[in-house]
Amino acid sequence: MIYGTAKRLVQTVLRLYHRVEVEGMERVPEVGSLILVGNHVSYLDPFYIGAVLPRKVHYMAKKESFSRPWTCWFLRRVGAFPVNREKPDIRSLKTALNRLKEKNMVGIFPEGGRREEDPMQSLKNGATYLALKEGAPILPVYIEGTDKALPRQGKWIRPARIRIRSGS
Amino acid sequence: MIRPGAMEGRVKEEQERISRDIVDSFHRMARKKRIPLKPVLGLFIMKDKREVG
Repeated sequence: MIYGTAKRLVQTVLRLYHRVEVEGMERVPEVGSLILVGNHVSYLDPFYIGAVLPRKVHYMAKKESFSRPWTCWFLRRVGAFPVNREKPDIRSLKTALNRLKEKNMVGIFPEGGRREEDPMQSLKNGATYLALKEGAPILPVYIEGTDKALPRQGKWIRPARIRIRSGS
Repeated sequence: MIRPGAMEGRVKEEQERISRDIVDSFHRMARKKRIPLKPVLGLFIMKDKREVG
């Protein structure tokens, strides 16, 4: 309910406010466990990627995002779960494994935070660990333009050309 | 889609292989640009989905 409403809202923002190009979403399996790995250049990335994918994404999100009651409530309602980025977080990995066992799609940004430079220069091991442990395929999703729409120090979302591609 | 292989006795190697595949996939997607075809009234018509570089 909350996820669907938020998704439609973000889709509306994407259509009205940005020029969006989406490519390769036909490659996303409709059912089964799946690990989405994305590059991360802006706070908008999980919302925009989630809005164009045909399935619900259960994002692994930094635990600091859960510190405020309102955002904690919202994130949990849309299926997100916290991860401690400072050290190996067994609890978070177990949650991710359980979501995969339930045949969900788990979304991870394996760079461990936003990176404006070339994507995927160094990766944390969580996504590969989950793939091997659960035998789940990995779907790479590349997004660009959100760093122009909402830069690191930006307060307002600006119109920008957004490209979202799913890898083969 | 990147699929994990069998992991008996070589977890680290398989993790490294998957990481390499992820990085390669992202670099391919990042290289994929639109190509200007010809200028029309000062504008460029852009062609979709051709890989360059």
